[in-house]
Amino acid sequence: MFACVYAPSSEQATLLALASSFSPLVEDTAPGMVIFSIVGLGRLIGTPQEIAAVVARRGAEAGIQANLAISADPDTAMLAARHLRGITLIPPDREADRLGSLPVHVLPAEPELIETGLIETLDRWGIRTLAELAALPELGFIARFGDAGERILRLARGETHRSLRVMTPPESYQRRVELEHPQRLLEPLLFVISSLLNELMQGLSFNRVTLTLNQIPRTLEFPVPVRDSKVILKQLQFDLEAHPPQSAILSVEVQLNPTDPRVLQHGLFIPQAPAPEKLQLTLARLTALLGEGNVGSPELLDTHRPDAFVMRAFSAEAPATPAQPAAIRFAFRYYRPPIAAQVRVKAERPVSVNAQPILTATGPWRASGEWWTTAPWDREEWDVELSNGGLYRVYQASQRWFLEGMYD
Amino acid sequence: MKALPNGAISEIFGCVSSGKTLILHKLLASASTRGEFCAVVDSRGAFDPLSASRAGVDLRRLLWVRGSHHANHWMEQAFKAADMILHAGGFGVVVLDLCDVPLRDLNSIPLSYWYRFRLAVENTPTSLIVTGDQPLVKSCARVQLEVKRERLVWRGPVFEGIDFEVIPRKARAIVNQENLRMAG
Repeated sequence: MFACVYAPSSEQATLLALASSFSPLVEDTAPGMVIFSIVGLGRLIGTPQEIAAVVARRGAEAGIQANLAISADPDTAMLAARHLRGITLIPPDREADRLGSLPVHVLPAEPELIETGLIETLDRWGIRTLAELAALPELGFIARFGDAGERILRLARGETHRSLRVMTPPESYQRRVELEHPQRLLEPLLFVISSLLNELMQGLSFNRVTLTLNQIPRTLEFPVPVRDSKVILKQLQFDLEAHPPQSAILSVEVQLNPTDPRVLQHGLFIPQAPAPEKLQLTLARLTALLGEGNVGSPELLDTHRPDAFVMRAFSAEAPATPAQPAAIRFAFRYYRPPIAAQVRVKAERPVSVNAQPILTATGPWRASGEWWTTAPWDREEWDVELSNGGLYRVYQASQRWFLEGMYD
Repeated sequence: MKALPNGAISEIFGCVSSGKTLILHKLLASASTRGEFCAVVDSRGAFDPLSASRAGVDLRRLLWVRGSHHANHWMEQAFKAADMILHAGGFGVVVLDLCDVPLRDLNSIPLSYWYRFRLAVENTPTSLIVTGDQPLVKSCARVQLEVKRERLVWRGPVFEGIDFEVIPRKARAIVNQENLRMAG
């Protein structure tokens, strides 16, 4: 047996809460409507009449103004609740009788019915009520209208006998624990986090973890789904070491974001690449060792400003881009930051750098740009060969000389 | 350009402006072309992405780990970083750049690091390349190449490139001698 509550003016959450208080098998049918199973309530409450009375009383207590219908068929209960006022009890095998007085246009406006023009056809045939529809010969009707015809015929007869589309509450991947004593040390704290992670993960894949310590959250994103709790724990450890909490910890909360597992087909002739999970840990270790911004893949910026690049996160899944090497015959090595230099100038040409005589000097190569921004640049470059054999680039900016790097 | 041997340490050294960085970029570009991932452990933070890109290095498949000589124990950090990358595995070429490092710091490198690196790359498809101003790896290197500059090439006032010669100092150089003499 199924009960349907129809209250278009009520909140859906209130209706779902009412239904869930009677049964775990609840269908979130439509806005303002829920259907739930009342099988088993007979032993707890009594007859269907008594069950209906209890549901109505609790609904009234929750402030719900609703129609209620109870039937052995969920679709019959739905039609009755929607179109018959108050409480409707439909005994088994009496569905067609109880629905018979309803007009044909109460049938749900499904796309199939509209496309086939079935309702209009029935109207032309003079079929006005569900009772008249239910009385039509089944085989001929289905032969003419197919699946859509069969469905509305069964609806009119109260014989759909479908299963409920049971609502499943969203899975929560969040655990919180309050500590008995304030925790100041990292190792015992990691032990607590580890137990929460192990409880949550259970072989599933996740791409984000949010660790909340004393209501202060920190989030780590993973470029590839992670299934191993040790990988997440190690990354959290590096993050906690790099950014330690400001006070002793009283509460720990871990929240994980589930994602589809990584599926990858390796090729026999494809060069090897770093294993993603191992690589993530290595990158986290390198970042902890050298600091943020010192580990990654450089990306050149679209500007003429010298040494313009940004450091992007390195990914072992970066697609190969076809290389277009230019016919260059030198490489450059930067001094970062540029070294302030003592340059002696004679006849507008540099003759020595830091007291080292210049053998060859070519220039000046003047460059400037981004004058329209707050960080304009303007410089005069020279390529100089010093007596030590090195070929260097020096530049003058804001009346000061700098050694920028070396050709090699 | 043919690659240096896999599963071993190779060393490229030479004086300032000799062309060793250009060789390094060409080797990285060659590995990129084969679809391999590369890593550069740059002890001085001197790597120039623009030069590398022009030489044909696919920067998206390059892991650049840069140290800073302002940090304490920066040499130790560079060696630790190289060790982590080698043990992570999966890289075709790993470069440990020790150019411009003061002699005092170079002398403080424990010899055990080279043995450790040799064991880490042995029987793997990874090629570890160490570059510096002088030979450092000693007996742990399978190949040692010295790069000597022949001349700087100028076209009028414009610097065009470096002509250099590669001299194999240890074992038979796997690199095509003619290619290396092309100066880029």
